[in-house]
Amino acid sequence: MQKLILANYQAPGDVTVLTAAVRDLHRCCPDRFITDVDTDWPELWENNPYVTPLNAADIEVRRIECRYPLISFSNERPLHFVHGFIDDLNQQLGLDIKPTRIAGDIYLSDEEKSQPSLMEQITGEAIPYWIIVAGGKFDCTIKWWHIRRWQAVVDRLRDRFLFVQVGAGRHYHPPLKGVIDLRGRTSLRDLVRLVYHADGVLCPVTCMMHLAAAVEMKPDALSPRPCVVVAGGREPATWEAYPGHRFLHTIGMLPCCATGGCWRNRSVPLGDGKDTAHRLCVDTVNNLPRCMHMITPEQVVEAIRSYEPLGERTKLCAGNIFDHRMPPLFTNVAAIC
Amino acid sequence: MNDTPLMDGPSLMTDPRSLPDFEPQHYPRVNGKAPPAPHATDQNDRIEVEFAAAYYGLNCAHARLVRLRQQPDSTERRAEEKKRLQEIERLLIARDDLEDFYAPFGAIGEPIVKDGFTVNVMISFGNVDAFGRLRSDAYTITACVPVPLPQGMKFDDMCVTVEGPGTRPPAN
Repeated sequence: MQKLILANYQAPGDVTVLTAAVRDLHRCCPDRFITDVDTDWPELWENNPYVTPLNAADIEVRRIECRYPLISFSNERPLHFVHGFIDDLNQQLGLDIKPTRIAGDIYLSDEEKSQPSLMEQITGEAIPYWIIVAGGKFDCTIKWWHIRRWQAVVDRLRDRFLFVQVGAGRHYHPPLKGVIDLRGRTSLRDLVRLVYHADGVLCPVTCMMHLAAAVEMKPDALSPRPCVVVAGGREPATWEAYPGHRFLHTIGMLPCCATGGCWRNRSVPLGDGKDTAHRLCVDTVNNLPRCMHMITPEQVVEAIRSYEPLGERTKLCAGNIFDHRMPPLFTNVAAIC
Repeated sequence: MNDTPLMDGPSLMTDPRSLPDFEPQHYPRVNGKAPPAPHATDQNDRIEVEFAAAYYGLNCAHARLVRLRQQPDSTERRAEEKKRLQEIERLLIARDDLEDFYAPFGAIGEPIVKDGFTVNVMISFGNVDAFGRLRSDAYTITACVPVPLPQGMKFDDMCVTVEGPGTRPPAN
């Protein structure tokens, strides 16, 4: 069998998508390859049955830098991100791998699945919750929706849904009120486990969206994990949206994204040396990209509530959980007036 | 503070420190320090000055409300209190507008409140990290790991190749 080390040093969202290519490589070419991976995010590969530790110095080992040049055609051709790495592997290895699923492939151990969720560890109860990501990385501010809009969604669903806010401490994640605040307090593996136990995910186009699709489902799940994505017009839905997700986009609604995603990066120049004209949004409303401005909290609330028939909400929600169960460390309260 | 282009602000704000009735006890600190000078032009300095002014306005309005509420109850006092509360609401909306304007720059202003007054505004910025370094700057982290040599040996006697700055022992 051929030994491969598949390497990629991009963000965890990209590597989450790479897990799909590794799965489909083995499904389409069984018993032909032994694969190991070299990425910055080993937490995404834990318990992965397709990963076997290989010695990079072994002369039989071939190292492959995994990329997705197919992204250049994402506005013209019917392609999903999952096709990206697979097409690249096909080119490099002379194969004909086909995607077997539009989702990444992230596994939990039996022990992890049997452990109480992080929320249960904090609150002492198995509380249903949604994960919310209300920000993102500084190198792509165009993906950000407005904090006040995220807050409006949380407020309007306060009596029905409990939200857990997550986000890396080094990125832009302004604090929301009325949520469980786990910003900067979760490892990537914690996030995987948090997603496993979550009822749903609310986020922009970010790693969490890919995790929502990639993390295996609980055995009793009837459908893919609910996920509402506030996407705007940066990326084509065909490339980014996963089956079962509500992908709120504006492709075809504005001149700047009339026929596809604009793929720009910045809403406004940050003055950090990364501002170039071709990366800057061409249509903002009070500094928010118009495509993101067009998505209202009402639309997001409606999208979240559209999942309600899937599962019966318990009576535990933000409206009463803060009253008596939640340690103050994990909650944000109004700071003034 | 790094030099960055000055953006058009949400309003042509008058710095309260330049006003004759300035009340310094209500002017908050920013990130634990006195805010930049009123004429500062750097973008992040301007953000600090504008947030400080917004919370100064709220502090002054809150102080006026507190003083009013110390007066005996009367129809006039209640009417005046309504005005004061409306003033605070206007200032809160202005503060929200300021937050909205600068949010896409990655600026987050979180007030530290004591007895109803904002005493400090913690502001983080999109273009620099908590240490004031541009986020796009590459920087290195170094660690000193002493590795004792076998007894009686000198570093130059070792058949090893060590690369990188500072790997040679200082000359005697």
